[in-house]
Amino acid sequence: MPSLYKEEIKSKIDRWLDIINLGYLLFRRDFQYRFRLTYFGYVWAFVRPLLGVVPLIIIGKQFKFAEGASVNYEMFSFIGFILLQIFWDAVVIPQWFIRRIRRIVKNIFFPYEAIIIASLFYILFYLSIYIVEIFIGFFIFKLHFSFKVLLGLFLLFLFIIAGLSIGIAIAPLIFIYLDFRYSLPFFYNILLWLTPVVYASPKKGLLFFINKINPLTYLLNTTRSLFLNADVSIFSYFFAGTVFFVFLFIASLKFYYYAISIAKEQIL
Amino acid sequence: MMILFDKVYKSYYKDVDFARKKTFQRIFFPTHGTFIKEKEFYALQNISFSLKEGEKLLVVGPPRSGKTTVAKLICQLIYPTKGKVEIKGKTRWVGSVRVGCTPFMSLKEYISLLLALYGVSRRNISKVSTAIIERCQAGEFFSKKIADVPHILLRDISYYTSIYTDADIYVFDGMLISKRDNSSFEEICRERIKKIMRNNTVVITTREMKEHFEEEFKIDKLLFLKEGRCIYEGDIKKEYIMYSLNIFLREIDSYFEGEKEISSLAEKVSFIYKKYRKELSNDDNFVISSGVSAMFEKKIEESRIMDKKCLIVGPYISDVGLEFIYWIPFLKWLFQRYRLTKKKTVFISRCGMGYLYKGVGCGEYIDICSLMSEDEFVRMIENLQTTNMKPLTISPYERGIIDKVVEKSKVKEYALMHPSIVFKLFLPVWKGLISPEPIFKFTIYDKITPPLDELRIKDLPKKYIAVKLSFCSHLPFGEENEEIFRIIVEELSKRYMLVDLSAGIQLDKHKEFLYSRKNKNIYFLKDRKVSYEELINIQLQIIKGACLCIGTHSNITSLGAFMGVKTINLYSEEKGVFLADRLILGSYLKEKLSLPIYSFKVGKSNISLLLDKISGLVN
Repeated sequence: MPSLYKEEIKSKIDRWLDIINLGYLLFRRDFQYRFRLTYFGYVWAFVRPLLGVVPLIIIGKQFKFAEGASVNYEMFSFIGFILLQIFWDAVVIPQWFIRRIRRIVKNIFFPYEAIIIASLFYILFYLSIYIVEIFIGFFIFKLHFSFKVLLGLFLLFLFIIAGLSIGIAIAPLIFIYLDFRYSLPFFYNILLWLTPVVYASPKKGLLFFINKINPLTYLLNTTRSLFLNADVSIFSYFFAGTVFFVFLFIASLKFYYYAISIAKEQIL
Repeated sequence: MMILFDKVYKSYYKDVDFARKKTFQRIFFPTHGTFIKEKEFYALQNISFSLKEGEKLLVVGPPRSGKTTVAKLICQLIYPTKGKVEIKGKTRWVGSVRVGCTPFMSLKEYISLLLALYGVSRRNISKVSTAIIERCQAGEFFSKKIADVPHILLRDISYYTSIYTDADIYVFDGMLISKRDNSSFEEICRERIKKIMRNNTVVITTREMKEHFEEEFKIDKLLFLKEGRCIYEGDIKKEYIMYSLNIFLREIDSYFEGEKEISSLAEKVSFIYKKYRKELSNDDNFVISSGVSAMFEKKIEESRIMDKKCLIVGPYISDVGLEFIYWIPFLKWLFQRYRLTKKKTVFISRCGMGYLYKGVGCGEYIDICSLMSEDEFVRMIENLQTTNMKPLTISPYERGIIDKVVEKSKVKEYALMHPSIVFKLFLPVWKGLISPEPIFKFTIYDKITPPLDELRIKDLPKKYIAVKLSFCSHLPFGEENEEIFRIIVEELSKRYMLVDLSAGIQLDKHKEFLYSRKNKNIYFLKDRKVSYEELINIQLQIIKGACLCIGTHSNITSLGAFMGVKTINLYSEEKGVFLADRLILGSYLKEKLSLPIYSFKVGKSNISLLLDKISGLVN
């Protein structure tokens, strides 16, 4: 390889490492501040997903939401919920984060990739808690591990990409209208029921159709099946869903750079 | 090019809700929408300039001229509405604003974050932050929480971090070196800025250039902004000229509004002019005058003379010389420029000046002397003589005259063109603060057709020289000048008949020379009964018939040249308020209209030379 290319690659890697470092410093700044202002501190990070999922498990089990699925329902819905939570964190965290550093964005021009990286650090922090919680669940319900779990862990990153593909497109718009922020919980509730999170996909009917056109269904079902050592029957759909989100992520990334340069003028 | 601005426009929205809506639309429809005057305003309009690597640009302008917008565009903190902005390299906004710190982070963490935001490599962050802490003398606070660090120290650290870290382009929005409480720290900042000024591309925005004069740093280019428009872009060699322009542009508004005196303008620019006057080229002067002229045109347009049905011009009650040298030529320009020649107009002046207004437009002339008795008129002039005869505002006397004219003409709605606007425009020229450019730009000079009506006075000599000698700033009253006048009159009267144009009616502050009444070769107009309303008309007719006019520079005898009569204008000193521009104006008119006009600096030693010249002209 000519030394010129080597230098170029080296400088690009160096630049990206600097951006990652900046992203980390931004994350650290926010992280300290966020948990300093609470009494229970980091406990909230651990408890947050459990608070949401426990009532759903109780109701789902009562109404036999996953009657057809030959798996432990508690773990079925818990893993489904965690997967949705990973996706949702990736949707929500960039817009949280960008709003909290808006004064920096207004006053200093820096590589905006760092905001995504900082969001990613947040997402990974929560992800690490989720993984621990999943393993605790395995332990409580005495499920055995298979090598597919490792593949499932790897696929968790797809949920992050899927979530970011929406999250980073919304993030700059937060500078203009907060409606995007306020409407997200509403969409979360819709998504919770339009994706087979706490129920098994029905074989017919309107919900069957909705599940079918929802690309998240395939990501979620496949990954969950890997965790629970169940059959992965519709792999091609999973692949199509993955491609869809990867392309959406690339398009969103372009939109993000363009929109942030315009929207930042509206930071008050 | 490190920085390239190509026809850049930047508009903002007046209403915050509308701004959000339009910004949102712009994200999804970049070419959607047009400029809405009521809701948007241009912070920058059609700005183009470029800066090469290592060059220094000074952006100067009054508040709200668009300086900070330029700085923000360079730092990529905002985007251009129209046009192209190209920036090569890393930019740095230099300032003391604390950005990105929270009370719970340590000072070390804050500096590390700031350095990372400024693009410092992760490998160097520790080294650079140590250096910053050392120079800011903040070692004891290094590990402390931001909440425990003194505010002033944080401000210094923020400022020093912004100048200490490497960038390709530094943008100083405000002063280059801001004053610090800690003088040793200020010295450290100065050293660092010196280095930046030597090696980097720098953009500095400032309201005034005075600070810049005090600095030793070299600036290459200058961009002058006023209300978002570029007034001047180019070489810094003319910086002192631009400094003057800056002051004019900033203050001329309040000056035209009557809030500022000319002396306040003069004081600010005088040190520059004293220092550099000899180096002024015509081009430089032109730039300053253009700035003043642009503001003047704006003022005329604001007076809405075009919108009203009737236009009242005057009342003019100042010097006769100023009236025909500036006021009437200005009106000619105004009426042509704004096509007012067919508009219903009432010209107000005094003592039979109406004939000269015929060249302006087809309006009605009302003589002030027809509105009051001669005694009232004399009292008014006497009172005015105790104040300023060159009005920069409308006096109560003039207001009363306007009311009478409005009543007499039955005008309901009118626009007023008062001489004060011209006095204000030309006063900087007369004071020698700017070149005579506005005079050439805002006047039209023509030859004057002499009055054709028969002269009422029948006993004038057949061949005579029309004379009017008075004292003013360029020929001041004093024994020497009185003696000079006496010799001139005595010698001339030996060879020619003289007609003294003074009619004993004092129209201005200038003291008249008193001729010897025993001299039989002088014809005194004041011995003939001349009414106030016919005075100037009669003087014009006398001048028309003269073989030569001789008088103090810029008094009524100067009109002779405009009627084709050979005229000698006398002055003794080159320091009068108006003289400099009138000498230039005289030479210009002599050439342009082929006027037989001669200016003569008279002194005791050259009286014979003057007499020879007169002989040459008469014969």
